Amino acid sequence: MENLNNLLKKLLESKIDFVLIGGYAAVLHGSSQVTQDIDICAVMTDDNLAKLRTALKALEPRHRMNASFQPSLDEYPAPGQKINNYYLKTNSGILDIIDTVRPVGPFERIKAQAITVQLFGQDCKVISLDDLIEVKTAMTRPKDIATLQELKILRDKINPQA
Amino acid sequence: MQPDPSLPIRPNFTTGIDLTLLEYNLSLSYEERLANHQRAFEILQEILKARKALYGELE
Repeated sequence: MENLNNLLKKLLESKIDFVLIGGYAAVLHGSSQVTQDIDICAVMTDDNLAKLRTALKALEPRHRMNASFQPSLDEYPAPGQKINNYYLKTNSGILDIIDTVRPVGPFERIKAQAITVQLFGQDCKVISLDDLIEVKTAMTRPKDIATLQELKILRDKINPQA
Repeated sequence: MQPDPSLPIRPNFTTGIDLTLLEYNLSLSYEERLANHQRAFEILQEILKARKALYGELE
């Protein structure tokens, strides 16, 4: 059985510098929507890639976006190759890693406004509610619209003066 | 039985969003929110598995 919390624990243990974004971040902000993957924003330097490979090894991560080419994370990218975004499937669930969150901005911008919460004994950076609302406002899928409505209500409840 | 017109209308009746769910989530710790989500996620996986068994892979 896929377990997204197990996947998140592995990411936190890896010590990669990342910010949790997407539906899982919405859940942490209080949304009731169910998401089927974990999305994070990170710059995948050689160091981060090495940490990710070590942390996820037992979960057998593979690239999933191309049906005819799904190499393991260990195989691809090869040394010297560079990719900015990773779309992976693991034994614990789907993991997407992107370096820029449109329309808000790149990793450093997302990180600058992120909140930090304690999860599984570790600090976890989570995209701010305002940034997440801006991201969801730019999306058109029905599930994103539903999440956006909830996030706006949650913002009003958390900070009624804003 | 008719609703009492003197009671305030809660926003969830007009937006379709169940405010009690959101209020409940806010009362939980972050880890509790994730634990709840995992339970819902597992149920959803079972539903999707059953759908796949019935109808095959859907686009």
